Amino acid sequence: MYGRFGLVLLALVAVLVWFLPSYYTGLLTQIGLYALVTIGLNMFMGYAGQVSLGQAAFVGIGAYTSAALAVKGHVTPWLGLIAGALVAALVAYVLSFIALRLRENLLALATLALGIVINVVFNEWEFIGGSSGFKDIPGFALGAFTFDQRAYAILAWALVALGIWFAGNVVRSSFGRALIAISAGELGAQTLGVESERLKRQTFVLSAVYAGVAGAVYASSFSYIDPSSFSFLLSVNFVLMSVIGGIRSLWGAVIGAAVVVALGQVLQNVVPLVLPSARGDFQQFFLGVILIAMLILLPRGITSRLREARA
Amino acid sequence: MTAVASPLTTTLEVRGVSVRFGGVIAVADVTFTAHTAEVLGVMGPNGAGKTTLFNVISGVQRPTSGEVSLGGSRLTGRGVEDVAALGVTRTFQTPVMFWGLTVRESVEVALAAREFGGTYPPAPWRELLRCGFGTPGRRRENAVLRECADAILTGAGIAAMAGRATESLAFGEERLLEMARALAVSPNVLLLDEPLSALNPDEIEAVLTSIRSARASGVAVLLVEHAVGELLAVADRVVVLDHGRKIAEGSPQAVAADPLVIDAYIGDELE
Repeated sequence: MYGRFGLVLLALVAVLVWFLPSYYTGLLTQIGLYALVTIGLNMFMGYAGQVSLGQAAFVGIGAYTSAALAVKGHVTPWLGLIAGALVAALVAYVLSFIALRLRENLLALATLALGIVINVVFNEWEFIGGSSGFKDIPGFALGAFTFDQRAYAILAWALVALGIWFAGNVVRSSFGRALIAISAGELGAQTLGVESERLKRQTFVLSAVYAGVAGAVYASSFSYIDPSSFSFLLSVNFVLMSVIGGIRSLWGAVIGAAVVVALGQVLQNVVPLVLPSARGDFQQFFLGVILIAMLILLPRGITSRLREARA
Repeated sequence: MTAVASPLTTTLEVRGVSVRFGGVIAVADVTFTAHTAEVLGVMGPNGAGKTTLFNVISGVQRPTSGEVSLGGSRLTGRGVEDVAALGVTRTFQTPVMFWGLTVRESVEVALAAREFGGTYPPAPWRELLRCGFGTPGRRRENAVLRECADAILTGAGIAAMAGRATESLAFGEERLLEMARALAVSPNVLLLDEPLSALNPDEIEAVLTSIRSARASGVAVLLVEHAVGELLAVADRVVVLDHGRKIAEGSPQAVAADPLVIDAYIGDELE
């Protein structure tokens, strides 16, 4: 079901890109990449019942790995994508031994701090460009064809289709059921032999793979990255997408990403009309207000309401 | 000289277990054994240390001193999952439900651990990849798990609940599911913490039937229960705790007549 849903979306995007102006094609790519990150985040937050406020760091690691390999080593972004996913996975694996000892609020704080620390590394490490980052990052290519906006949108959504298929298989398997069990009653599940720490660790690493892949594609499609692209605010936006769509929902991840990107566009155009002196930060302010409103009005996300309507 | 053949095989050994919380002694130097295919009642007034003792056996609480072993291998010092993998599982005073799963899926969680050698997931990463890629082998195993789960629910007399969301269960149904889930891991030792409290007579009968059939299949059942009448009726032997100490051990009849036990219970009522 998830696989087919992903393919339908991919087909839709593959058609749309021929009719949309390139600006909107770029937005489609952005929504796809954000959706990919949020699918991974929903596995960790919605299914395993944990919290991560540092997901942007893994996007950054994927982006920086791929960009550094391409710029410094002339490695094709296709390999960079795999390397980005692997490095993000490795970092998540190592960090999980610190972070996953903690629970709930403390885990949220720890992931927040780790995200900030990784961003500091991006800023201070001259080898990867320091605060000015990388520019002129080589793009993806297939033979003689160098990717254009359309191709990136299709690539992003092909990855979404793959990602949602894989995640869909996981959540409907023993693995996914065990995740739900530990999120509902960790000790109860452990007394049945469920290795909760191992499950959480693997899901955290999986979420980092999704983020790393998205980051690698992001780097090549924008051809420019710097540390500010992967700040704490981006992590908060991923949580926002997750919550808006519904954390225990894979479709919700896609809906959440689309809603947040669309809202950003609306705010960008509307806020200056209402508050002429407002700058970019006001968008973030309004997204924050919306997050709080969502948590009060629809704590289980848009998809929960859709599910109730169907039932 | 003929050796007296013991009909009972020793399974669980609790040796000199003490638990101190700061200055409070919750369990003091408790020693007993539980055997396969018997129901061992654990009695005692409130605060006697029964639940703490269960926490020690199931690996939730590390004892201050003493140790617990099963068939000669040490349980003390192992994590809850590892204790479970060795065949010791439990239920809780307040049933722990896996909200988000159906009744059948909850049992499948327990079964998955058993099917894969005691803990789930088995080999790191491989299981995640097999599930994610939906390999044919993994799908077959899922179908098997589902069939096993239905068989267990039928055995527990709750097959009609199989498709229901766990959020929708009444308290008594939660108890029955928790019990079925625990039995799904094919335990050697099953710790039941007040499995009869707040149940109606039909549910009590269903739980007692489950306990007896677990015993018949060779499980050592440790039963903490405040319903003394039911406990004495179903238990083969009884251990009585008071203020953390073992004050009596023996057949239900002997224990019920023990003046120390009567005193502990009456004393408790007067307090």
